[in-house]
Amino acid sequence: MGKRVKWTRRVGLIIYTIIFASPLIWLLTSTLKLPNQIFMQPPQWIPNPITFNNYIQAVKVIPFFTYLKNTIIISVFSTIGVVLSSITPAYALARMNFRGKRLAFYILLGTMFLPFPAIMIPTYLIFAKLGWTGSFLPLIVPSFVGDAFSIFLLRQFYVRLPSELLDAARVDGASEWQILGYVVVPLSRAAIATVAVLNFTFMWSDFVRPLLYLNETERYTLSIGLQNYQEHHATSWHLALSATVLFMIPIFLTFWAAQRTFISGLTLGSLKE
Amino acid sequence: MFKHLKTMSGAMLILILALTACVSKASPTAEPTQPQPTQPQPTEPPKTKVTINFWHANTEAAEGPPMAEIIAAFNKIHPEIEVKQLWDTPLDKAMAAITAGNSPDLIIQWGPQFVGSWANAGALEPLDDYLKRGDVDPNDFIPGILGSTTYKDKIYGLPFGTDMSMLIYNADHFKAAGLDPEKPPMTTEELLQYAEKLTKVENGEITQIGWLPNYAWTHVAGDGSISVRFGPTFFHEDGTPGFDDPRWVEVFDFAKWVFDKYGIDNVKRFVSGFGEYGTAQDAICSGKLSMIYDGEWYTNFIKKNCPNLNYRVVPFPYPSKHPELKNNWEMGGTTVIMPAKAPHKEEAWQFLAFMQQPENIAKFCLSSTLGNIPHTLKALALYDNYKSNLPADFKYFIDLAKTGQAVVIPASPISDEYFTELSKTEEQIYNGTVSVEDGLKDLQKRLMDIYNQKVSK
Amino acid sequence: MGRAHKFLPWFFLSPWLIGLVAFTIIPILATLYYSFTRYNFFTPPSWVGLDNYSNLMVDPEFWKSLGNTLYLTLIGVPLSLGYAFLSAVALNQSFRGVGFLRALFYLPSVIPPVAAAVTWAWVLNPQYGIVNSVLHLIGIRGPIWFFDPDWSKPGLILLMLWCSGGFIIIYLAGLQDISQSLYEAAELDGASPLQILWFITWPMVSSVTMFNLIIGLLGGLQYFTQAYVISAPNTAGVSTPGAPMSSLLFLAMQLYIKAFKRLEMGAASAMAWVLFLISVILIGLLLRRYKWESE
Repeated sequence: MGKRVKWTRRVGLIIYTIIFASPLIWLLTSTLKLPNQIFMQPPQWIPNPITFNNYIQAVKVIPFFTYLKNTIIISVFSTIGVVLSSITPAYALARMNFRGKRLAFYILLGTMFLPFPAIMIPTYLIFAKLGWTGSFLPLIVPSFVGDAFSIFLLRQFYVRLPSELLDAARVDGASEWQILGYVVVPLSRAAIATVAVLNFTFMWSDFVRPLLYLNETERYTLSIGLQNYQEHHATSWHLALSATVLFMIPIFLTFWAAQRTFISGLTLGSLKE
Repeated sequence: MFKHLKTMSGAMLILILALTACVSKASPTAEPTQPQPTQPQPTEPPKTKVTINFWHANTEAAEGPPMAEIIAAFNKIHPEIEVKQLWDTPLDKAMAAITAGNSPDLIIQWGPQFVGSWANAGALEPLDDYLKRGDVDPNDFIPGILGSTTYKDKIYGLPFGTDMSMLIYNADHFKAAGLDPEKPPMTTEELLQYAEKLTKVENGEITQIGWLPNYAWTHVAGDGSISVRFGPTFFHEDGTPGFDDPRWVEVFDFAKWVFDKYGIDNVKRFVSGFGEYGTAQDAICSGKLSMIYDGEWYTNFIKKNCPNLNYRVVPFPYPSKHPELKNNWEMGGTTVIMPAKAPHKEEAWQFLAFMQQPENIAKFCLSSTLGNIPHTLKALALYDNYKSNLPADFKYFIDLAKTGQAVVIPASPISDEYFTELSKTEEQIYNGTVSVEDGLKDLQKRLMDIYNQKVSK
Repeated sequence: MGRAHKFLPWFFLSPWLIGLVAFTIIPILATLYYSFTRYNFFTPPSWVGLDNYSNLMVDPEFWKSLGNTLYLTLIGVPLSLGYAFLSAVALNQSFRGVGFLRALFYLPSVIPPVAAAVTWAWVLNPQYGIVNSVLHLIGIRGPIWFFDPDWSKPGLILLMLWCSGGFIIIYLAGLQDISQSLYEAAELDGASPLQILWFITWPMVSSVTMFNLIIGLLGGLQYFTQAYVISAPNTAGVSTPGAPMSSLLFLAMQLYIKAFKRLEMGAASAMAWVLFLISVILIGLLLRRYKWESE
């Protein structure tokens, strides 16, 4: 490829990226303006003066830290649950032999594609009859009984583990538990981290389940809290947008720290063998 | 050999224990249900301390201060009944909690519209037997207001404050448009003429709009309703919806004027840039809207957000065809209900009856944080004691409540669908996708279908 | 494998099996059962046979929500894939800092959907949003986006494209698997970049496309959050679900309202079952063309 073509491609990409990122830039600059400057036409690109007051106001008006605390609790505990409950089924489906293994795998695949609305009502009713609605339990407990997608991811990883390692351990007289604990889990730390990060992000961002199960504002997560605020104060843009930025920050940080884990997780699942 | 298994399951156990501890500590403290007596008990106060749960749709900032005073006074008479309050709990959240088995004893909600469908579903406790005791005088209520909470001849809720709307307009805009601010529009036709003068269009874009029929608390029906001035039938005597009444055509012919004249896209475009209602960026405060038909709390907002605004408050115009309707106002406001699954009905009634005493109604409604219209005649008479809490023009609202003709939308099991379908038809009419007559015919048909389905017994 | 306990695999599987029964199989069957009843939670369910389904067939709101959902799924998802593919091709360069650019493209897909929706409600604000302001600069009067029934779904598709970072990354991985020699051979034969793209690159990532398509369709059929966030506020005087003019009413949203606001759980369950069947058929058809390794 000619050098000029290469440079055109490069510059083109950079321009494209800037256009692509402009909603985020626009979001940010809007939050740094005075409330009535937001309603200016033509819009100012660079806020003048720059004010952080909107953020201070937003945190006062929206119980940000309460919502943050709730979101952390739900995300952390359900991530722990998913990790703990996905390892053994994934290993069984990948490396153990038993009657019905293929059927079980197909069922797993099938449930991966189950739309949540199809089971929403009875699941809600189960929790209502248990008296758990309004608490965090409906959001956390299901994680402890396996997540199809996580099991699938780990299974794909375990299938590719070199058999020699496992066979060698068996020849040495190790039980399946020991193989799992001493060989497989340590080897799959990256994949487990991927499962953890993906689930954490999903639970953090989830809207439908908290909408269903949480009633009191003190229990709201950030998603529900932000949506609830925006529903009633949509045009107080300076506050709604500031709250949005605050809401995005923890995810930005997680993403920054765990970029490769996110990306490898996606490719783990997608590549055909 | 099982080292990892042990650690894993141990960790899981600890987690689950911790979770249940966290959750149960943070659970709302509704008392365990006790066996319910089928008749209301005689008025002998129980000996043990009882906590009743009272859920509010509104915020603590608005209803908290007057409630605190009322509860303090209540506890002087009933020290054994503790009232625990929860705020910011709108209807669907309350309903969700009740379905989970966590029912409060009393709920106070905006609007009486939900009473019909909840009563129909068996979710509310009828209050007729309690009212027979005589602590609360239903005849003192503004005539007709109980119609909104009466379903199948039983009373399922009691109002607690009602609302009233008047026309509030920007006097400076009037002057700039060549109108005399001391001569407000008297008829609906005049209102539209004024609106035309007050609307400014520059380069094809609206920069100021005179009047909107669907902004904030202005509605065709239900709260701040325009239709009371035209007198259409909301529901027929037999409970079926009344959109076959030709007066609805008059209502919508009036309402859709703005959209026909300026184009709905242009109006929506302009309105999409409004700041939040009730703040300093509000449409009235920022001079984008000239006239608004809004409730008695609105002048309080103006005082707080744009005190320099030169405004007037007058009754909303009447159609020249129906001058007899010029003092009609639609009753709405807040309603208190007792859920059918309330654990402490007797104590809840004690508190509700106390709340309904005139001085407590006045204390609540006329507090400076709230500003509602009291719903009983005796409480209305106490306005002078509280008028320093509120802006001077609140007086206009009170006077109209005392002298005007109150209209109420009767409770109906399809009230939810009634207003949703009405909104949909309203949207279609304003968008021009359907004519007024066709839209109303279709609305009536849809609602009749819903009515027949729901009320098939 | 000789010494493995016969039941050990089942023990390993047990967490998943418990969840499968309790939170998948039982609810699916329960939904089917409820769909034949009238149930409002306060009173026990009463059998009504196929009434819910026949009512659904004549319910204009159902057809509207189905139409909206299919619009987004069958138009928005393929557009997202095409867009993601082209973006991946553009990002498939190597120079210092390209990693940062790729991360930027991926970022919006990680942002919580509520946050992304609020952001775009502002981006597409008719009066002050950046899109209309830029259009204004070049002399075009932009549409009123989320306030116009004809432009609200296209607005959502724009949001969808912006959040297709996951697809982009997966495509990138697929692109990087294509051997250079293929390109070199094509260039030698005199193929233009466009021809290379169409005849070589695109077919070589077809398995990735299939995977993305399945995931995308599944998401499209359940689409809820973003539409809910954008249509819920009562701005511009409208408070009906899926405003404006039900253009943002999707199946999952209609289901939610029917079940939890109207307490018509029987009717909602019928809708849920219909959604389930549609998903099974669509995704089943696709899956058959994309076989998974089972051993």
